[in-house]
Amino acid sequence: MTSFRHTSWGQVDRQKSIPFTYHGKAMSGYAGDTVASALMANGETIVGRSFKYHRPRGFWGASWEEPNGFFDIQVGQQHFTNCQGTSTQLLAGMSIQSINGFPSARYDIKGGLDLLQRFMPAGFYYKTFMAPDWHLFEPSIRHMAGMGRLNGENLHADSLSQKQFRNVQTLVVGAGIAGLEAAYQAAKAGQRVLLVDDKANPGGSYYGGQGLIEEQASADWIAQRLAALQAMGAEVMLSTTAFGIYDHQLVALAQQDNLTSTSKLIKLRVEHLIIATGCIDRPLLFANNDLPGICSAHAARTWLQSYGIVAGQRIGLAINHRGYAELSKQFTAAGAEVVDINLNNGPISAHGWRQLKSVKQGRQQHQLDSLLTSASLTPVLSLWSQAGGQLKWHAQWQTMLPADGPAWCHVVGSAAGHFGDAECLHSSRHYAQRIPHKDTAFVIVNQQPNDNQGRQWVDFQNDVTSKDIALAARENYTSVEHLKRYTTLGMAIDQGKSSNINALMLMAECTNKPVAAVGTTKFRPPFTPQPLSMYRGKSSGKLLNPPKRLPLEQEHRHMQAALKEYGGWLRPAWYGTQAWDQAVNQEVLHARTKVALLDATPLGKIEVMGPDAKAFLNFVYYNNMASLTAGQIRYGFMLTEKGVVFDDGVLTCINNHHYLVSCSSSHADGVEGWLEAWRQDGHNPERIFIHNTTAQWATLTITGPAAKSLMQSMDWGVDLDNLAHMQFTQGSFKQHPVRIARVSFTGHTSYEISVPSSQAKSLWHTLLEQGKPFDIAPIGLEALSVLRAEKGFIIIGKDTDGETMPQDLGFAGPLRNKTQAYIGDRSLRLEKAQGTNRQQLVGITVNGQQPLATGAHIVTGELENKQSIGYVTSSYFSPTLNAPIALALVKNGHQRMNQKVTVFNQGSQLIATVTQPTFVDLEGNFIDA
Amino acid sequence: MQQFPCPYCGLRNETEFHFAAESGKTRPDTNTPIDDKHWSDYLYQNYNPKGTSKEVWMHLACREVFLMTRDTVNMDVLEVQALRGEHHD
Ligand SMILES: [Zn+2]
Repeated sequence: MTSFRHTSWGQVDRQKSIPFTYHGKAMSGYAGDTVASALMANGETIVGRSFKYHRPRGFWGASWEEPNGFFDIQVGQQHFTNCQGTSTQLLAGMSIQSINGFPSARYDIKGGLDLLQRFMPAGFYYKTFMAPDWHLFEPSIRHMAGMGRLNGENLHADSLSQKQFRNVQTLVVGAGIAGLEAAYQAAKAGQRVLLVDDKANPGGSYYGGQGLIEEQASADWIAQRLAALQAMGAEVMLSTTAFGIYDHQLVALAQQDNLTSTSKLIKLRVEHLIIATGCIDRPLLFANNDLPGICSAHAARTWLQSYGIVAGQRIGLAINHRGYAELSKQFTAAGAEVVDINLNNGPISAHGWRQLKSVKQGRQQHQLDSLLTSASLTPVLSLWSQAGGQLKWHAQWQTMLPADGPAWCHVVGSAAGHFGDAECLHSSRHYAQRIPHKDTAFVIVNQQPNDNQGRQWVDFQNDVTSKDIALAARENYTSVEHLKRYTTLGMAIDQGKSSNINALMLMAECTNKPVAAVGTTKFRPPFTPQPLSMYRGKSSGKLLNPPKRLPLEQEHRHMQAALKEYGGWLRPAWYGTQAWDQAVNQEVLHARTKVALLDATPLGKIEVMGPDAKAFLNFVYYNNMASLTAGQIRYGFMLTEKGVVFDDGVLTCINNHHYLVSCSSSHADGVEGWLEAWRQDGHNPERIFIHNTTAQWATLTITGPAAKSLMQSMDWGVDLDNLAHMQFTQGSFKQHPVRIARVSFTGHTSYEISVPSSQAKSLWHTLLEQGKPFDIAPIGLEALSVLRAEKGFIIIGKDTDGETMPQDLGFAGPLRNKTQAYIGDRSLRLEKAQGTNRQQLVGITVNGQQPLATGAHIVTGELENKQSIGYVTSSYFSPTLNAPIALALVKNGHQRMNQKVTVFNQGSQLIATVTQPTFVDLEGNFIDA
Repeated sequence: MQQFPCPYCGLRNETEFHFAAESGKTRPDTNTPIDDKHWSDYLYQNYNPKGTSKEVWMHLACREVFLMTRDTVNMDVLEVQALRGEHHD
């Protein structure tokens, strides 16, 4: 192809030169150019190499249907891969490289692969990678077939992408004449209308053209419609692709002005969708139809009208229908010599090395540098199909047309088979009536234009030929979905936009079925590739899942806390600047010998009230909660109906109608939802009330041998002398209510002190001040984890898994004794629950100083007979014992006390001892020390 | 993204909702003997119908549980019904 730029045609701005480089060579285009039009203006004909055989390829399509020209583009510091030349706007300073061609598309050193084509038939990948091991081939094939390169440094450049949620009454997709007219009609009928088009300019195939629409210059007609839309308040968004239809009439739009500008994902809820997406050319099948210089007729017209690019000096027209009446005149006027080829005169074949030189038809030979082809028109119906619309094969026109579909969607214009302006506009004017297409309005010249001489390329990008499809059919890959996977047809970047219909027709021919019986693959979003960064928007890093913040965060920071996320909360892990393990050991020892202060605010606090609260909680808990009296606290489990431990915590009885459920910090929302579901579905919701007050109360815990003395040294408005372990009372703190619970997660005397969140700071500073004589010090979550593990107190989800039942944790009492029904009760009496081979909670000790790896397996047997019987769930160095400790779930663990077991981790193993899951203060004396 | 109509709050995005169960199951009275089969049916036996499905959902924003009848093929929501008033005591 010797394409050239016409001196005046096209809509580019010849006053604005845009410099860029192509494989390092300086070139220039004009404002308004795409990468493709700029390269064509500079005479670049071979712009890509096919995926499998590295055949040279030129531009074929007008926009998103382009299968050949994809590029790596660098602009400033930003790097973009797989940019489609025909749909990428040219920007100043672009450094453009063709992909899948090394060192460049023109001089591809792998061009010789084409000579091996006999050995790379359809199913090549299937067959090659079966045996012995595909990994042997993977690196070289990946290197050879790679589409573009990723530059790891600039992947996050598009961090400004936005998301927007909107709605309109009527969305019109496609601002060609059909879409403009339909939008105009909808707006006139009083609808709130949004008209979108993926191009930067409205007008569709009329953009830049000199034809007439309804006896008016097309540019004027388009301008008038736009002005009318604007006057009626309709919105028009250009450079916006409607790429997906999702449930409940949600349409996804991607808006981006150019490669480097901020992309926007718009999730649009619509009442009506009008699809005016037009059609593309179906490639004509003939020998060597992939030679550079052979392209879609519609594309060549677009290049001419939009960019002033004339496809060649001697242009052949191989158009198999009467849809492009003006084409010959148009290109003659643009200065090309035009040869009309009548496809009724027999099959054609293309000839040339690296680019088109001639086209033969029988004994006739035409010297041509460009051939504009169209076998038929293929309506663009991806959105229609995604919305649930059916497709119907039109045998006469060799194309798929919309059939039945959802009432909220309408297809108008050539997308619905209304080829020709009058039919097109008529269908838009009456879009709600779904005007049927006229069978006589479009004529196919030749029903069988192709024969089987030479290779005929069906999928240009993935190198699928008509022979490959025949082979797939012979090997019984006849369903379209199988065909696609076996031949890789339609699996490249263009997703087979141009190749699908030809493939269906060939498969129908091979299997002697009507095309309608072959079926078609499902259309799925996105219609065109969309960057993942657009979906992400601003939801990355800290914004992806923002942690909940403590009211005392500044106080913790002031004391040099290392803040980490625990169960969704940003909490102190430890305090101070020394190494973390030293800090943690020091904090553990401090809590065991003096008094420690812990911010326990995230602890779930769910109030349950009402006359049925007691019975409800007794049903919800595994443990017997009916006997709990005012001021008492009881530890318990909640189970699922499958008998698995769902949460643990303490229940406080404030009075007979008022209880406080204390659940795991990370689990408060889940427990609240769980309680609500049981309250409303199974109980009388008028007699039980549930309030999650986790955020309303701040809780500080003081724990350690001096905790009691510290509490007694302060005025709480209530006598604490007789407050025993697992008792609760309420007093006042500086005229504010205070709740004091003696509950311990460390084993030592502990007080959980809760005040309204507004009083958190006051309480914190008061405790630190009043605690000075007792040497009070704050501790973080890491120390707390060690303290609780030393006592064998579990963390649900860490020391339990999806099968752990309460008896596995040593809590079999309620199972034996509780007489009232409770959630999960029947499951605990199933055979599996009663079985002898259950994983049970135990302690594990080892010699030396090194803690076991969490997750390490407890194994029996030797070598190949090695079997896992459980795993380590928690493992720490215990500064109290100056030795490592671990908790584990082990099969029949309760029967294995003091037995030696093997602990296996990543190839190494050592001998350990099974113990009770308590390591410190086995007699429980600390609690009242 | 589907939209469900909470009987209390109106039409909201599906991310605000939590599926609880298929409707129609009654918890067996576990104070009486229940054979394993009966119990495992209660736990695991779901209809998972193709077409009309009646389900229990919670709207997480208001914490209200309600019944929703929807079509699992075309995702149409056919009916929602608050649980309040369903209670018989
Ligand atoms: Zn609601």
